[in-house]
Amino acid sequence: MTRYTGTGRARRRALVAGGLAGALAFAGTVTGDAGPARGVRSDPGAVGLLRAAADAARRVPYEGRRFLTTWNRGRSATAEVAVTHRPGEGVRYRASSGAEGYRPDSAADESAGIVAATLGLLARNYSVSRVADARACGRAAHVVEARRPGGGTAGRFWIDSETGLMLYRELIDATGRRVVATGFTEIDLDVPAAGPRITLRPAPPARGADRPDPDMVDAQAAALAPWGERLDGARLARLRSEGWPIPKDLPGRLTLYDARSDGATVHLSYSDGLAAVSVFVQRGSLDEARLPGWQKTVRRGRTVYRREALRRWAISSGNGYVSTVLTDVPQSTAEAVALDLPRGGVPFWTRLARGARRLGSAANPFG
Amino acid sequence: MSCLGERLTALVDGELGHEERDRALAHLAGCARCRAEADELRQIKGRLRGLSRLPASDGADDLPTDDFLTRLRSLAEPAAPAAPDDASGTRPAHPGTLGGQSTRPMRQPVRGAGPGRPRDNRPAGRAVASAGSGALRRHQRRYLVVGAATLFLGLGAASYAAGGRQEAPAVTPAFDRFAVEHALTSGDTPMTDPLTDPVNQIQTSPGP
Repeated sequence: MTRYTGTGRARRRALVAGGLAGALAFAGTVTGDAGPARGVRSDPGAVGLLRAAADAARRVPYEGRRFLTTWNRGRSATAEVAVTHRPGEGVRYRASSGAEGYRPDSAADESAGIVAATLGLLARNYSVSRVADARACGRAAHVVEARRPGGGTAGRFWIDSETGLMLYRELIDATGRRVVATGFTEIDLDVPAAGPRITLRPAPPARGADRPDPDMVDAQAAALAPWGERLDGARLARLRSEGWPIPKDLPGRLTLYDARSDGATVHLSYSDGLAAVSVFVQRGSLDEARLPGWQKTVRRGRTVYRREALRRWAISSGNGYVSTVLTDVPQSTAEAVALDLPRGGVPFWTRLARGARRLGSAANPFG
Repeated sequence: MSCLGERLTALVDGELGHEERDRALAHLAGCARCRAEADELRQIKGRLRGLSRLPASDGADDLPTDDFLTRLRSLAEPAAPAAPDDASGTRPAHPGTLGGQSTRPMRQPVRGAGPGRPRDNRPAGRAVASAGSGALRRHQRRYLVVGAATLFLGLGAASYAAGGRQEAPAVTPAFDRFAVEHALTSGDTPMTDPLTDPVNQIQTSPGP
């Protein structure tokens, strides 16, 4: 009898243990969003090259012209600008239109962490490896390739073998077409580390009303810096509980890696390691009369305004929030993101309290 | 319904007077339909008894059932207004003893209403009122609770509906600032285009 009970108990224990293990394994497969990427192996050397490139961008002085080209359905748009970088001071941009911008390196320092974050995502979602060296801008370059877990190249990076600077990079969609390419069209690395042109006065970070009006900017370039207010997890959680639509992930394995605010608007940066998608969320309802030239699409009961320029824009609004999606990758992504954004909205009790207040003021004969 | 009407139930419940019972039994002997129905009722009663044994109740759990049955019966009454006086003497004074487990003794003899059940207990209040102040209070409290809940839910729903409209100002996203911010934060994408992005030149709008 005792023996029987003993075996029974052992069996039950074994069952419980097995069940637990099974549940854990199941939870692992369900919650592991990087499930398909789990088996992806990245070459540490290749990832190291990319990391070094982020560092070299601040360390190496250079002068040249940069471009950004995006393709969509056979059409392409290109922007070009002249850049001058002086380590320790910053990067100066000069567009052909005459507009100038200046980004102090102190602002760039902040982005070092971001680059590390997107690199982590890149290594998680893609398999990064080195392929045969090639040439770019007339210079010898290491080539790093990011491949999709299912096969196929998703991105290529050309990294200068001498300085480690990223010369060129391109993103490729699943059908094998280039969708985004960016880099230098010409680069001169033999600029003196300190020259007569570094008399740039680092302007204070432009924010709000202090920001010079673009029309008033003359020779003195406007200083460019990301929005100052970083939002940590606790802040984001609080905003979410207030009803702000702030998803942790977007379709296409895009993960939130940075959030900032300028006081009124929240800037959410998403990436899968290659594509960068920005979502700007602000309170209010969309002033649709002020969107001439935007295409309106209605899908699944949501209205999305979209516009394809060099970059892709999509705006969705509802429940008191306007979300603007901005990305370099194809329009379908921007639209899918805009359509898939949570509607946000008012938490139940807030809405109830607001309604009660309204009812109260309507019923109050003295109010 | 059988020829015996509710007396059949009373018979099964063992609540008929001696004379009435004999009469009913005599009828049963002759009427197959009534016999079948009596059997059925007995079966139901047996099952209900089995059910009521399931929860280890001290009787308190049965209270609502009892009350509920009373109300059901009193509701059915006007449909059969011809319930004659003679029936009032024979009908069970305590209608709700399901399974023979009498749990509310205070209801059994209806005081001040003559023999049998009260003639009109449809509002269910009078009999109860006479039956005891405890029940009265319980009923009042119930009405109070229901009223308060209705008020609460109604006000809540109205507030929820009224709170739906947004107090949101119309805004236009500040595309130029967004473009700059996007370029500045998106890692190794070039810092070039904020100034050359065609969108910037077309669309300039003040920040919120």
